[in-house]
Amino acid sequence: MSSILVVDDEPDIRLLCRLILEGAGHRVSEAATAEVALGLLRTTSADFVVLDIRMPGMGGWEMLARVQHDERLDQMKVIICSAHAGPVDQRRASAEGAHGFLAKPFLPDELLRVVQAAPAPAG
Amino acid sequence: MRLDLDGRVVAWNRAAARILGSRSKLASGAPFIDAIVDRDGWPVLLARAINGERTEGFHIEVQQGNGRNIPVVIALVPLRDERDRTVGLSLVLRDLSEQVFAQQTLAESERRVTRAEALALTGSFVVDVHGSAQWSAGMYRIHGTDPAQFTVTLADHLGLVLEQDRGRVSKALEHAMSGEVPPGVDHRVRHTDGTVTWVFMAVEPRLDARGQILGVSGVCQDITARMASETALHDALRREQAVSDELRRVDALKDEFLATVSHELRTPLTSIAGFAALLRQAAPERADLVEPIERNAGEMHRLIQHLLDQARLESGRVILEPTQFVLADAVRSVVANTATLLGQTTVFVDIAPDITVVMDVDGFGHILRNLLGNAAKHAGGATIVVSAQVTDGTVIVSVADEGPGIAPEHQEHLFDPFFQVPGEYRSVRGTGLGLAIVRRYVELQGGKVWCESTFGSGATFYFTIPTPQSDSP
Repeated sequence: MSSILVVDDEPDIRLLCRLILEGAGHRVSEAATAEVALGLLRTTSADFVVLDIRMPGMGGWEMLARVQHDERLDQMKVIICSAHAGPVDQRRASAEGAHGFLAKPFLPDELLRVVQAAPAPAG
Repeated sequence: MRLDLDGRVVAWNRAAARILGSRSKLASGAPFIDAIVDRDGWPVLLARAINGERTEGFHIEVQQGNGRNIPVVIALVPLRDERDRTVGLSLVLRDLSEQVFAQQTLAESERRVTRAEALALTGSFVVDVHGSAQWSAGMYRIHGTDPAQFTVTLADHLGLVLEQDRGRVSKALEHAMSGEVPPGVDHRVRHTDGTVTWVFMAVEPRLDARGQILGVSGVCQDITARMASETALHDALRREQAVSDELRRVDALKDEFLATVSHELRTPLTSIAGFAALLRQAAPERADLVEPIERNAGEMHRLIQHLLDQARLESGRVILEPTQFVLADAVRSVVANTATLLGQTTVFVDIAPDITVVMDVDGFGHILRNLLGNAAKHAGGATIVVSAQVTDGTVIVSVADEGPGIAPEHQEHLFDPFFQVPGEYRSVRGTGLGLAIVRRYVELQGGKVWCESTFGSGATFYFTIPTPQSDSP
């Protein structure tokens, strides 16, 4: 079981992720913006972040960069979840340190597979 | 030669004999007038001489002994005795034939130059170190000035040049005057009647034998017609540029629009497909209600994908980056990412794990996804088999379905854009673009695509992946 933070400005997508991930026994929290998500991560920890790219305010790439530079969060794995699913986006995700890439639209099994495929947290 | 007062030849020397020729009919005692071709002026001349007047520089033609006429200049001088009476005449002849020939040649070559200048709209000029100039006829024509009313100095010349261009012309002349050969100068001149024309000028220094600068020599050419066509061409190019800039802008706008639309459509589609899948898990007994939602979500996903693929192909900006990859892994990855397209269709991958190919991964994804989507659409619910074989270094990938198959007469049109099998018994909707996109991507990578089908028992689509020469097993 992992703790997973879902960051997406679409409430339905957050609910969908919550239902899928909780159905598989994971603990889920949500944030509607990257700013809220970074605030949450100051007080709570997560094993995974499922991160949308195109959001009002801070975008997903910016948040990914901040997470990469935060020592306290270096155990956390980021899964990019975007409707921009071209090869450029996929390459960029892995180049910038994301642990997985999920193209929208996705089915429940695909989300679970990406979470399970990410390497287990070290230590 | 000596003449008496009647104009008869009394004596002649050798020089005179050379001019008139040894066989001249002028013998001693013959009147000189016999040798003259045009005799009108001679009597007056003779009368004046007898009256004591000298005549010099008088031009006449005389006939030589061989019958040829030659031009001569004569001086007729009275000879006086001690009481100042005219007792005889001295006639001096100078042969002008060489000089006249040279002058004729010169005149002829000048005429030729003038005609060439008129034809080529050119002119030539020289300027001395003091700024005095000499212009050829062509120069006057080019500058729209009358030779009779226009005295040429360097300052006059520059005065005809439009003020905006005068500096450059002046500088070129200065450079030539200081011994350099400056590049040619295109400039405008204003004619006396106000017309403005374009002139090309090339100048170089004129040097004497010791290398001292005598001035400048130059040529000019009227290039108005050339400039007009160049300007027209330039204008046309600029208009063309503006149109293509606008097209590019609109094209970029279209791409941006499509990217946004596809993003905005995919987000709700994620919810529809995702919640439908959850619903199927929660209420398996109502799968009959969930299935149409899933199928329609798959169809919508395909439509969005076609829209984007076609737009990208149309814009001609598909950049292929071939890399080497394991075929079976790539197929499984595409199948896994195509779940919403496939709905309840099962895909069986039957490919040897050691087959590797070199092609653009993204292009491969487009090809396979569209073939899978096509198979799922026409043979939904059944099994699709993806397999591969290697023949003569070429990898052939096949996608086989168990659908209704395709009648032979429709098979050749399958890959045409917007083709739909007419009267298909099941109502199968779509953009009609999927297989056209497949063909474009296959052919972009040097491969072939075709279909084999027996009507009523499924269809198999094949595409080839050429292997680079050096990588052949």
